[in-house]
Amino acid sequence: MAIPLLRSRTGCALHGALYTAAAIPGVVPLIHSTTGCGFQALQLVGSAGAVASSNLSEKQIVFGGTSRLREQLKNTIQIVNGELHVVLSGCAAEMIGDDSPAMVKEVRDQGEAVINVGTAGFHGSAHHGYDLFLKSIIAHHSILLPQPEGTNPGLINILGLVPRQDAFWLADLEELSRMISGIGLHANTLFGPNGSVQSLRDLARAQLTLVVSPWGLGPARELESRFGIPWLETDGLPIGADASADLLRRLGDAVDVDPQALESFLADETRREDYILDLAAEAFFRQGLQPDFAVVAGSLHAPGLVRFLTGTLGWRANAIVITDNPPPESRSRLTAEFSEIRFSEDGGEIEDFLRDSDAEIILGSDFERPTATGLGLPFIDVSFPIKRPGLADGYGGFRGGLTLIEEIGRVQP
Amino acid sequence: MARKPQLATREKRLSALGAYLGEIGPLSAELESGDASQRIRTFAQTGPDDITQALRVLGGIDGAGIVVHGARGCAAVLPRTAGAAWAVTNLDQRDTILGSDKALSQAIRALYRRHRPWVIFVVATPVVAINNDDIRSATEEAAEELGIPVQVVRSDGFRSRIAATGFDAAAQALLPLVPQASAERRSDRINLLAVDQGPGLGHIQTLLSELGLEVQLVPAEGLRQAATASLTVTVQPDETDALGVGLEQQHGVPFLRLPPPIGLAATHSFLAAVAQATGRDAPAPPSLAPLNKLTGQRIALALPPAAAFAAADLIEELGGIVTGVGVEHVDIGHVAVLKNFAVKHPDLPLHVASGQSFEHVNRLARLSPDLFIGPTELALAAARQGIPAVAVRSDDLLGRRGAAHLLRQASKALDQPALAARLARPPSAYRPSWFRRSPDWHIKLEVK
Repeated sequence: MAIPLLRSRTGCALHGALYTAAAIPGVVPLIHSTTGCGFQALQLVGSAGAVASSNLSEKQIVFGGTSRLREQLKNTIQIVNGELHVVLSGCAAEMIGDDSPAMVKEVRDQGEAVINVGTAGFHGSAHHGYDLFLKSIIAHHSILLPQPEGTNPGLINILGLVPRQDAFWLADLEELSRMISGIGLHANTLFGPNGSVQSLRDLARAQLTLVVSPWGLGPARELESRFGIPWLETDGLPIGADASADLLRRLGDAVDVDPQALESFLADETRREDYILDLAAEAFFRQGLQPDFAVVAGSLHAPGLVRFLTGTLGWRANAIVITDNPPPESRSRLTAEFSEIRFSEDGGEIEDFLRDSDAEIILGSDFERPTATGLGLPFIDVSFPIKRPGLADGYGGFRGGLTLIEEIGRVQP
Repeated sequence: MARKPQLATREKRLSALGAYLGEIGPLSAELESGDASQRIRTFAQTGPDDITQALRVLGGIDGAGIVVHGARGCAAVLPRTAGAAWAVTNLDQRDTILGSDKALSQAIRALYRRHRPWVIFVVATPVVAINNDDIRSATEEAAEELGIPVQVVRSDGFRSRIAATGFDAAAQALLPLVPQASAERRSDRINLLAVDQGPGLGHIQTLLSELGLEVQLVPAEGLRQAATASLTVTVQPDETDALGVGLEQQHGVPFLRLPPPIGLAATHSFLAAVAQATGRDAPAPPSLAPLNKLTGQRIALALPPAAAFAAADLIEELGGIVTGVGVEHVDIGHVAVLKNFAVKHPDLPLHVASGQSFEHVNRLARLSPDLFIGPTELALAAARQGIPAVAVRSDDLLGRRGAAHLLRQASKALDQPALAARLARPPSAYRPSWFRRSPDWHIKLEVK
């Protein structure tokens, strides 16, 4: 049975699939559902975009919506620029039993690149939608013509950051990409300005898939089973020099990397953190800045934030709340690593954790800001929903650690 | 068992249309005949629906609680908009098969325990509507146990193509919460109806207060005292008409229907009409002279219907030339204003679309206005075509403040079109062939 949520902080599976599809230039999403589904998705992330949608009405709910889908799909191909059209079925279409896959196949048989993904909102959160979309793309990879051949040496797929739903998704992705380039490899980011339908083709040519949150694991396993691409998993984004260096060394072990080039890059990046941390440390000591903290974020950001704040800055974690309901295997690893960890998607329960935490600073989303204000505590926004766009500056990687140091300095009196 | 209360859609109640592009004369005649033919789109884009519009109303009500009964995505507009406390039943696949009344009961109680709202609204969504889930039993039981009203909002996301039906669904849930006035109505107290609570509403509230009136914002703040007022007026007729009519019919509070106070003349008329209806002296008429600054600028606009027609008058007050008007829907209640508008602008067609930026960009490419005024998503779509644009909600345009705001924003957009020019550099999202077709290519008469 459903677990009702006070103040849900993520969209549904349809929303996550939409964010994921729309973040790949050349991919055209088409929602097969009622009118408001896409509108709600765009409103949640503050987007003023427009998305093709079959806008199912009562007539189609009663008599079926497949002919409406056929009409909408045909016209979407004619009107909207793009190379790959993706039909995302919502709750209404799935509940009335529309055979969207058959309709999509009919169009595909005419030589159009179209796939269908069942993304009814009741399948779960936006993170599940990311997983469903990418797994479906990989399963239908053969329609992405021309099919690529052979492995692209040094190409690393990055999976696990959900566009729009994960705060700083673009900045974090670009920082990971920069880090990978720094050791002589190259990243397939899929999303953002460097993403394309070609990136989707290239998924199958990568030498390795890097999985930075549990939500990338399903697609990574799909890539392994279909194309034999191994994957390397981290429990969350690396934040700061130590975690970033550790990740790059693991990458270097998994893929053929020039060890000298690797260590030279790590030394440069670490020296930068040394320098900036040293400048910031004077203020930290002057202010007696070693607070007990509480963090509220998804499994992409929370573990890395805690490791950086405790392992580099020497803070103590009083409460760690993971908000994206990760799968059991991820939970058990996180629970083994962090004794203070809790898992909750419920805004009310999270507020209780914070109030009971005796924290001196809170890192969280806009939902936690009023609690921090009410408790008279400094607050740093690190998770969605978030006002800060975070498109250029995230908390991931070497540079993310520096951003966090600067942010800590900014919120302290 | 008693039949479920039904909500008439805007299509049924007012012959509303959500898709049209063409002359106003035949449209108003068709609406007036009471037998308007529905149009559909063979290509469509997402837009607001009855659920999102109902949530827009309810999210602003002080001290209320909202339970969205559906998948979690059906509450996705709330994190950025709601002041009210809210929860979502977060239905999963099993609930869509086996029913969801238990989840609803849990959500209502959890919301009550934490926030102690004075009312809880249960907003229905496609999943429960398609399943025909029993919402009433759970809500009635919860209301009895908790001792507060638990109101079902009869939205479903698909029965109406006119999103404004959601305003009526909200009104239907709100009206039973208004107690009968226990004493005589206050002659100096009026209800001011509005959905959006921005600076424009505050400005109108101040202007009305200057007439010596006590102004209750309904439904946001003064819903439970609404029957004690001597008059109801609205700044958002399309959004709050059902509420005003309900207060008149159920509580005898006269509902004075006026064009919204957008533009200097309309604001003065609005205040003068309220003054007259409440036995007060009319305020002095405004001076038009200093505002003549959009002279000769060709301006296209798109807004909710009453606001759009009023904004067209405002643009002309400011010396601009209206080259295109878009409205979210039209219905039989707009016939008079449509006729009046057609007399003033005999050659101007009307575009009816909620969202649907693909039609707007095609139309704007032909109109090539100097400036576009409309909601954020359409203003951005215009800017991506290199057309200077100002994003406004109807609240931004209210009163003398609204005229000054529009003038300032418009003059900035016209003087400094750099961002629009920059946004227009990447290729369009639409294929060139779309721009060779007429903008109403995908609007068709519905086959019954």
